[in-house]
Amino acid sequence: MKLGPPGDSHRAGAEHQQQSILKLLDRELSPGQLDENTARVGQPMGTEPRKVARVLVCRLHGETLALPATDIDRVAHVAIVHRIPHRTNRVVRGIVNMGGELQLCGSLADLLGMTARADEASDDQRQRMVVLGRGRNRWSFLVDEVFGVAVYRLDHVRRPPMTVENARDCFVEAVISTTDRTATLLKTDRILSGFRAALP
Amino acid sequence: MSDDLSQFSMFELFADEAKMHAATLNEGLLAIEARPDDLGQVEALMRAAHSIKGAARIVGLDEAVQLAHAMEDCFVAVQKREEKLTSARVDQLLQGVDCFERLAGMTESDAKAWLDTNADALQTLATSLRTVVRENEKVPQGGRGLPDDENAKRGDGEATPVTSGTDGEGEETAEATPETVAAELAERQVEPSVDEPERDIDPAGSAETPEPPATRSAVAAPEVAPDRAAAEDEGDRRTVPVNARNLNRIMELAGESIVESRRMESVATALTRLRTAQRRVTAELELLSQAERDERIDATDFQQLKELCGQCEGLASQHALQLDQTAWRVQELATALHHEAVASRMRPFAEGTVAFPRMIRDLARRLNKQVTFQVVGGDVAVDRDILHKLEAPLNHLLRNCIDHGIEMPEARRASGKAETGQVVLEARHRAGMLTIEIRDDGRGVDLDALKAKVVEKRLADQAMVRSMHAAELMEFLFLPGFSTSQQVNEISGRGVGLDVVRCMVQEVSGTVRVDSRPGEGTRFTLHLPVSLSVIRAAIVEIGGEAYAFPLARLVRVLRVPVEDLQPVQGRQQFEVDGVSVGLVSGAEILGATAAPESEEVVNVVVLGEEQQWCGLVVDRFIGEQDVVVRPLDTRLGKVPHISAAAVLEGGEPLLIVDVEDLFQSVLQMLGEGRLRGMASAVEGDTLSTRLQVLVVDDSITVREVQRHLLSSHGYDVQVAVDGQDGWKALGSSQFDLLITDVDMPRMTGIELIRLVRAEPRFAELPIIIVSYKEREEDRMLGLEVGANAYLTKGSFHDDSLLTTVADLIGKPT
Repeated sequence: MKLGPPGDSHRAGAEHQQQSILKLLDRELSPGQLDENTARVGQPMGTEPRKVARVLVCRLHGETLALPATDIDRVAHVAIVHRIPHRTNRVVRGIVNMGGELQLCGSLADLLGMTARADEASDDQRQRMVVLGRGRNRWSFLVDEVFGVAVYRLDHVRRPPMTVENARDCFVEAVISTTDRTATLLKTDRILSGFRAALP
Repeated sequence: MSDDLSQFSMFELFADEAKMHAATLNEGLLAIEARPDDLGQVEALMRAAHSIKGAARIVGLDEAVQLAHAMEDCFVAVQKREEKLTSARVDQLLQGVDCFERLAGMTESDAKAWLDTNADALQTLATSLRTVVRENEKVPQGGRGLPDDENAKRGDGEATPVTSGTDGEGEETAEATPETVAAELAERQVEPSVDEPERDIDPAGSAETPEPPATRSAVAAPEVAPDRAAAEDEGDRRTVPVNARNLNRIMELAGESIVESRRMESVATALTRLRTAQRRVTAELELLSQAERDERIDATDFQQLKELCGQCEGLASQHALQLDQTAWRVQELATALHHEAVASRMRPFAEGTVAFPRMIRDLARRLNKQVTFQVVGGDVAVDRDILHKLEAPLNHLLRNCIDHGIEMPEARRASGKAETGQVVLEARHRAGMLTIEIRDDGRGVDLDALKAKVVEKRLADQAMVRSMHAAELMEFLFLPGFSTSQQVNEISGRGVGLDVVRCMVQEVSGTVRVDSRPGEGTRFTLHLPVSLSVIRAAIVEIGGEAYAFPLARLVRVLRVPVEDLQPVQGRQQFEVDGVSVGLVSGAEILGATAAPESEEVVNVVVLGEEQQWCGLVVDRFIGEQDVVVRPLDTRLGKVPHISAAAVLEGGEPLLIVDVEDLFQSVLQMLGEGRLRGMASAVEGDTLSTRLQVLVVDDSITVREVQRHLLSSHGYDVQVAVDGQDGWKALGSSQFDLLITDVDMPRMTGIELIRLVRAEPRFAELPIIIVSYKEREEDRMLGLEVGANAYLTKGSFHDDSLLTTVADLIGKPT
């Protein structure tokens, strides 16, 4: 519709337009349309399943790992870990200063039973500390590289291999595909409880 | 807690308001009682009662409304001078205040139930308060049947009649027989430090001290605010009072920090421009150098280069100065912010003394004594945690002053003193410490009675006691169970007070001492750190990591030349102030690997108590600084030898050593043979080259058989009684081999081996299982978890064990 400059004739035209719009909005619904609209609007929120999820993707000992993004507290530069007498072991490494907070630091690699590959080049510049968990149940650990947050489709996941899935110490939720890589999605609760269990 | 959300918040509002106005009423009533002719406070008391009435009406506590209204009426009468406030009347008003405080500490449903249960007594009290008492008239009785504070707070549910002491107006006072008092006290599981603060001595002896007109009610317990106790359970979720100015300042400084951090961005941008200019200079130089080779240098090129260099220099100078200024401002801000944040923990001393005037007043009345109480230094800043921890010890000491220190009025008059005794509680900062004094002008400590008690308890003989001076004798008062009191009354005389006071004070790294002059009074002096959150510590390195030793807990920090070390029974020691100080390895105790910085000098931290000192060898000294104490993660539990953590100036984590715990561990480990003094200044605990074997078995027979067998073949053997004991032993000494049973209490052999293998430093430790279990699956499990060999006791031969041991670790040389 063309809107012209103000003036009596144009004012009359605008009023006509307004009337037309009101008629459009106030028109009678066709039979069944009210019921259809009602059914659609009346659906409870959230009943439609989410189709995607977000993960933090990182690399550790040559393997690409993923952790639910909502479970990540922070990602920080590498910091000095102080061992704790009578507590530090292969999995529990000590305490570390994360932005002014002293947090427990564990070895995710040792928890998962991963070993560094002989041919794996170590790049200290890319290493990062990841803090997983919330509140008092947080653990920090070192990874070789953080790629960032990625999205994966929930209908594009694979079960982990049976050698992992049936293992007593399985920490894997699924094998997922992001836009540019495949990653092992880990179970946050399992990791946190694993670290906790490793405390003497 | 009500499920009705609207009432939930309203009752809490009532509770907050009631607490606030109850405090005003408490304070005001005590002031008026001391100065009955000064009616300036009455208006404020009327307003407080009126506010409580209004708040109680909103939440539907009708009995509380009636009581508050009655109190208001009473204040009106006083204000109109129709009634003069006597002590008896103050007692009743304070009863009313106690009721409001009690209600404020309950849930809504409990409060209503309590009001229902005590409706009659509250009604009587209200009626009495409404009755105007003319001069020389008796105050009508009221409030009988109301439970007192102690019973209510312990929740025993039984109302004990409360009686007020006589004040010359003829009220009856219930007297308790010793049997009823003792029975009542025996029923309660009293903790002396809280419920029955007791003085260890009755200096003048029982004959001179008339039995106080005891009531059946117990001694008032120090009032721990319910929200404070609950708050400690809530950990990080608790709310704490912070001075408003302090908080504002923190916000300001935080805001300034953001401003300065943004300035840093501009500095970074400028440096980027500088770098770009610098690259252009480099590029020009490259061109020039090429031109030189081609012999075609142009004067213009030089000019351009000169200009570029000039620009770079200008940029560098300008922004270097800017960066320097910004860095200085940022540092100033960070320091100020840190200072304010630390200061936010400090509270005025007066906050911790709020309940004392009332407590002393009530106690003095109960004992028919006259006492004035003064707090000096109420503004002195005290760490809030220290303030909270001091509440019980100060309560103890003040009650002792009233009970044993201050004499009866007649006795004071007879000795030429004013009838009214004085008790002063003073706080001040001195030499970087907080000093708190509790002093009275009472009868003082009877040294002769004290000496007699020391001899009677066989703590020292007559001759020794005669040679002791007063300060030494006073130390006996702090022994558990020590009391010179001839009788036990409900207030004191059990001898379980001062030792608890000392323990509590020592918990906060403080000291307490007492001095006294017979007939003139007694003074308790507490020296405490100003703050628990910041300590001065010696920072050392052990195993390549930093540890802090609180200076207040150390004897000495020394660098000892190796040639000053002398062996005693093969263990190195040196002399300090006439005391032999044996060396132990800090790395060994903390499970680290020693990395001493020098072989010429040994860095030693001397710790211990009295004349028992040990020298903890550390790698090197880093320095001395104030550290902000941070609690360790609770998931770690109590970490042996470590009390807390901190952060160094560079941001690295630091562990704060629990010196007492470490010293006790050293003593224990030495006694159990799990630790031996250092044989060498450089090495750790290597007394010899003998192979060290740890045998873990819950059977004493098996342990001894194996120990004897291996020892006789040249191995050094230590034993442990179960897996947990074995794990502790592994943590404190080095072993070449672990031999373990499987089925043991507290921790099985399998669990022990799993722990061992999870520890990197034990990854290579050979392990032999010796067990009665002969099934193949048991053997497989043992080997799977990490044992190197599995021997069964059923087929056990001396040779098989020795052979296996030799295969794994070799034979002793």
